[in-house]
Amino acid sequence: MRVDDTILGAVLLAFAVAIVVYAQTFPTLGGMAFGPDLFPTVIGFGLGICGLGLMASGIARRRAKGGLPWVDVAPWMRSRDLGGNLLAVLAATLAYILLSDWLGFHLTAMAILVLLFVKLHVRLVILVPFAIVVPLVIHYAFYSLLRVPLPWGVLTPIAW
Amino acid sequence: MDAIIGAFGLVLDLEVMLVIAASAIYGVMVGGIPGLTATMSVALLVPLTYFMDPVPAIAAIVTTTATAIFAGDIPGALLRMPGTPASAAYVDEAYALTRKGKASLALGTGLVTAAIGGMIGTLILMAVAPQLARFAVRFSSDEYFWLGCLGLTCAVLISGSSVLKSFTSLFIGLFIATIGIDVAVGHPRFTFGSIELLDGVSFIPAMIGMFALSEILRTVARGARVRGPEQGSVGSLFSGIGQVLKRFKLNILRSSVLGTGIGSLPGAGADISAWISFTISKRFSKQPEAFGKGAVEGIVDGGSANNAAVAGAWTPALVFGIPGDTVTAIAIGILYLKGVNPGPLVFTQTPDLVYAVFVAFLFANMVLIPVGFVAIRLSGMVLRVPQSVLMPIILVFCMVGSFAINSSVFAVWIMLILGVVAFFMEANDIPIAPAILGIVLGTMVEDNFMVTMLKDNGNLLGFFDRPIAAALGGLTMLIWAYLIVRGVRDARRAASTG
Repeated sequence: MRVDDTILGAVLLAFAVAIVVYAQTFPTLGGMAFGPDLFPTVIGFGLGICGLGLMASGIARRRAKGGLPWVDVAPWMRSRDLGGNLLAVLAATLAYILLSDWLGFHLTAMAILVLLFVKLHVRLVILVPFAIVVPLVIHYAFYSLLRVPLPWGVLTPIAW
Repeated sequence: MDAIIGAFGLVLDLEVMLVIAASAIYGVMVGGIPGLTATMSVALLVPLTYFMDPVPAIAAIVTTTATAIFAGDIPGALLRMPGTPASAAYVDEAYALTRKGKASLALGTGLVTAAIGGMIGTLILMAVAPQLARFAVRFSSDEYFWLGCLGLTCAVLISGSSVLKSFTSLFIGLFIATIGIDVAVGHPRFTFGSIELLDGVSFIPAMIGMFALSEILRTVARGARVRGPEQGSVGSLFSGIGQVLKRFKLNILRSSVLGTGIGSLPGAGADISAWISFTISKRFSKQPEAFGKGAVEGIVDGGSANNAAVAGAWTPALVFGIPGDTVTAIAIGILYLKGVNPGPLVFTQTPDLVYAVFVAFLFANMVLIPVGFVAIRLSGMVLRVPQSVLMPIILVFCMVGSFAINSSVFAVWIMLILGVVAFFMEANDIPIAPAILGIVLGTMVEDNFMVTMLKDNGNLLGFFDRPIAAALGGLTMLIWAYLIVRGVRDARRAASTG
């Protein structure tokens, strides 16, 4: 999704102003003119200048050449299939964040793989073995070998 | 000398050797799959290295990068899809050779020159880095502040994108680096009451999000393609290579030295080295008309330069703690996690470790030849793995890899948010590399700034008191001035052409 430089610049500028204003609430270093607020303020100013610059060049370009779209529609915005792919990946990640503790790693990973494989039109003969084997392999590598405490969730009674 | 012998001892360990072998196979596989970059392969490797000792961890990163950069040539030559951006410069030459039935010449040349380029780069690194470190031991916070600024500035200078957008990326990275407890008085910044954010945005999930998750999002948004192999068969790999090497020995030397040099500039990595060497190759070639129709010369130059650059990037990383490219940025992050602070003092405090990096490089480039040979033979299989199967699996790896760092799903949040941010940044031509350097170097620049200010009682001119600091500061400001001029000129041109 390509946004016109004017909008991009305006968003950056707003963000920059927010950083600078918020940074002023930070305490300063006893008696010195600077403290924790200095770097965020400098960064905010830098970002603000970039935002202004992008706005300026965006406006100039629009003036020179009328009828430019504000937002360039990317293929995934036009196609329900591609947009759905994008949403599926984001939903899968969110699902992991929200569910893995309760559902456990195996079931969450399996559900995520099935969801994405189906969405990406992977054939059943590949889908089934991969959705079963991949979580087991990853679990073995991270849980058994590297001792990462991947959650068991509802499978806790059969934990190995 | 003792340190070098000690380093061989460290690397010639069964565990390290196994790690090198496994990383070489992994690097070749990931580098050989179009769309998966060398940086992404390293980002995915980070959670594993987290559980290793420093030497195997570094050996894993070094080997993976070296082999992945070469492996990018394989789909480049066979499918005209460079496996990593570093192979893009000469992909047309390699593919033209394949269409003439000379795929084996293209790939064999790429493989052998990659190994030679990597070796030459390592030798230069071994010769130059300790000398530089001896010089850099005298540096104090003033010099480090300017070096950090210089590194950040170079990232903008070299990114190849518009100046404004590169600076935007840099400031986004620097902003992310300020999140958490501040270094001066311990005040929480931009944490909004989150306890998890007090430590700052963890580097590893940030990395995985910006390089791996954003790549997954891009791939599925494009529609994960299933590319069947359409390549011709690969014949005898090393026939005719001897002749090529003999004929272009000066090219190999020139591009390896050049590649090492360019690679050592902060922000410039293997891809830029390959492009520049390829351009020079074309300009000074005795047969410029052959270019575009399968010039082996271009592959020789580009192929040796990109692998030499991989070694070159480690010079500033080890000597100053300033990454030469995104991979060394990740490596520096890992070294910090292991309690090793890259900088001139590592050369005196833990010389074994530094030389172990060098030795690992030599081994990585030696392993490259057999592993690369097998990879080219098996390339049909690797290329046949459809992205629709690969991407979901990589996604699970990303989630587990982020989680593994401190066993908290909060890291998965960081990965998700920064992955989405990076996806939109790339869609709007805002490069990612400056942001990554900003995240890595931001804290260091701020630390050194604060220390110097306290030392000089808040006098800004104190930054120019020491001669080397003054020179570095002057250089940095010159580049800033140049960038401002270039930015204004870009904007004017954009406005006039519309």
